[in-house]
Amino acid sequence: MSTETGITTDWERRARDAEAALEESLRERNRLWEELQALKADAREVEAAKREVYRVETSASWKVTRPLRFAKTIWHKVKRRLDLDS
Amino acid sequence: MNGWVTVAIPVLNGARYLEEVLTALRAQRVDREVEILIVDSGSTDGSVEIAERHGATVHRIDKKDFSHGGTRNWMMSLAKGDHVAFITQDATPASDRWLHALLEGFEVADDVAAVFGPHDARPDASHMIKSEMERHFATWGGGTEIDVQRLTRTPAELAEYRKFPGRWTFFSDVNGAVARWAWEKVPYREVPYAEDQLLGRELIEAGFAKVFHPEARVLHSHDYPPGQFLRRYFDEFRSLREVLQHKEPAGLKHSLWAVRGLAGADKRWLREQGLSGRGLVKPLAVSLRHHTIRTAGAIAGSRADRVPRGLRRRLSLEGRDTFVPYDVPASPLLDEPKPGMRKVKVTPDWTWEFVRKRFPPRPITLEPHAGRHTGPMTVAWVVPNWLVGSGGHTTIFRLIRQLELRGHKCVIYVFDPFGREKRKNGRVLREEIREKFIPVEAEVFYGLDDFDSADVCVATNWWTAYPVRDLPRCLEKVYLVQDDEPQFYPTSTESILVEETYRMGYRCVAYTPWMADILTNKWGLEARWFECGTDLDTYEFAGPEGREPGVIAVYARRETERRAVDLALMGLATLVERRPGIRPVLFGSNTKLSSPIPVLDLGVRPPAELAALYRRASAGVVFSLTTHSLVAQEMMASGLPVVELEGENVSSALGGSGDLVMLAEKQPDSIADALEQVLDDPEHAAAMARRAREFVETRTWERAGDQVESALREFLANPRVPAEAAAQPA
Repeated sequence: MSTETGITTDWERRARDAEAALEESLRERNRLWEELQALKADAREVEAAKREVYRVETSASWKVTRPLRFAKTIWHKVKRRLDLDS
Repeated sequence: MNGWVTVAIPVLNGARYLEEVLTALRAQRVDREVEILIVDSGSTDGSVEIAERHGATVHRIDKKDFSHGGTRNWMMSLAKGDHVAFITQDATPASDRWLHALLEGFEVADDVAAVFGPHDARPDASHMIKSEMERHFATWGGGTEIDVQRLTRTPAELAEYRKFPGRWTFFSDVNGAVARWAWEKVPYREVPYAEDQLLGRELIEAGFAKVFHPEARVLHSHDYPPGQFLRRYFDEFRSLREVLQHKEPAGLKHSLWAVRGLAGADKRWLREQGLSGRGLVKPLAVSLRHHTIRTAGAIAGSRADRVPRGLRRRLSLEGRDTFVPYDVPASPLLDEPKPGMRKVKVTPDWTWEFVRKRFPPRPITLEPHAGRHTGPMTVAWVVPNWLVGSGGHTTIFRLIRQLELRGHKCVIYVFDPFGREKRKNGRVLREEIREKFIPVEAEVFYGLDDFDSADVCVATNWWTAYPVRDLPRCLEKVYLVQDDEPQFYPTSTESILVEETYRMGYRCVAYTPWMADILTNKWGLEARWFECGTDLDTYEFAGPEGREPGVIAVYARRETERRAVDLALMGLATLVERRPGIRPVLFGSNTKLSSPIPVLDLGVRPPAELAALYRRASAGVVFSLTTHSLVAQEMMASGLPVVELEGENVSSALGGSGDLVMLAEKQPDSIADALEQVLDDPEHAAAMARRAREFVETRTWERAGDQVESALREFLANPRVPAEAAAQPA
């Protein structure tokens, strides 16, 4: 559209551009929102894993079998030393 | 309203400021006649003459007959106005719009019983007094905005109220006004002091509103030498103890922290006034002395019952040596249980707390916005816990997937107030949705603790509607209604609570036009509708060839009572009596049921196996009394002739002619008749099955996704809380 001052103003195009820009910014916002949800879900997952580790490590069976794990570690160390020596 | 407003002032030797006060009153610009009402209790300094010169109506009483509560009640009864503003003889209205502001406070809401305004310290007051008054009145609307106090009695607000009651109860008749209608219901207590605090508390606890208006300012402050301050605070806190049972906390550590805190607040105030460095030393020393004296006076005054009578008289500025506790009704909300009574608490994890806490009913929480017509949305879905095979959840997850395919972002919150879900882990639940239902992209959370925000938040069954109503940062809240849920329950707690969700004012997206009509016509809700799609890839069509005669596929989820499984079994038993070769094959539930006839019970099976069953059976039976069943559509897609019960829920979805399914009355014989007809007239049954398949082919999930998306868009484009509402004062 031409105005008396000779400046060409294409309102429709500008409106379309504005709508496209809005849509683009909404997409970016939604992407960040989705990322936030994923981070929150990851945090929950880590929290659940920590809880599980704590549950295992404080269980009676874990405590009772501690000497076995200790013996296993020693055995592996000795075996490695023997392998190296030979 | 009678066109009068009364300004009431109790006077005793108030000549020092009375001239100034009355001159300011006469200068008030207000659109009502102003009556100045004075009750003098024996002035000897010319106060009465000043009052009469300003045209005040003066009443005289004996000093011994004066009490702050009783005298004000008498003044209320004498006053001409429907609103009575109380000030004291040394409180000067700070502007000619003071009275106008007080009256404006009553217009904020119909239930405003009292209005009060701030006190500005007089110019010659000490910095401690100035700082304290500014801090105190900043409690309401930051001291600059109109603030409404009203106790809604929600659990959270009651807890706050018990922590900071003064935030709600404070009222000062040094500068406050009372509506006559409220005073007639809650008059002043006939107490000698603290009558305003008591009135404020009783008005608030009676459910009325109180308003702070920042423009209703008066100049009012007391300044005394240190010794007199100690005695004044002694008197003040003795009165608070006598009337309100207030006991100032004592203890060296506590008191030192209190003095330090108050002096620190003075320091910040002095800095704001431009003082710094050495200039702060002297005023802060004065502050420390003042607050130490104040704390000491408060502790001693509120324990005056333990102070010997002689010392009591010497500590009192009034020279009073008595301690008289007044029999004032206890606050049911604030007071501790009486001796012998046990303090009782509500168990916070009781099953129904999620509902109880959401009463009294309140409007849906929404963010104001200008209306969104285009662009991708963020949608939060709050769903109940599920069992694999749940039709309702299949629909929800398919709709979520459809929105995701259209570029929208979704998140799922599993709300499980009854603690039925054992796997309280979002990622585990997400895997199950993806494996056993639909591969959605959305993250899944157990509970609502991680809720952040969404363009649209969707409640998907009745109990999710309760928390969704109050979730923050949403532009729109929508209720996805797949079933007429009040029909799930007999008259009971549940039926009442389900119906309540239809009074919350949600905008609804209903499954079937029938459900939308119920929501609109019976409940007056704004409702759009969608129709379920069918997975045509899984449920492939098979003609009549190769079907096993006598095999009837029966949806038998007996734990879901609305599925009328026992009625179906009755019909099948009647059919078996007529023709012994019938072989019913039940599916849909892992709960074993007793049957009057031999049946093969497959339990819950995956879609592919069900599709195979639908392709080999000769008839299908699937009932739903409160909606149209998705299982029926899957049978129809597979070319299986279906028998359903008559009802608007079915006819609104499939038509009432029986062209697509065989309709039976809700009686065993009629069900048996319908099945016999299907089995005895295979040509008719095959033609019906072909029409049914064609019908289902038009009901795709893409179409359902379009319907739901356009409903959400329409709601977002027409905001219920327009953006301009955000700019309005509260």
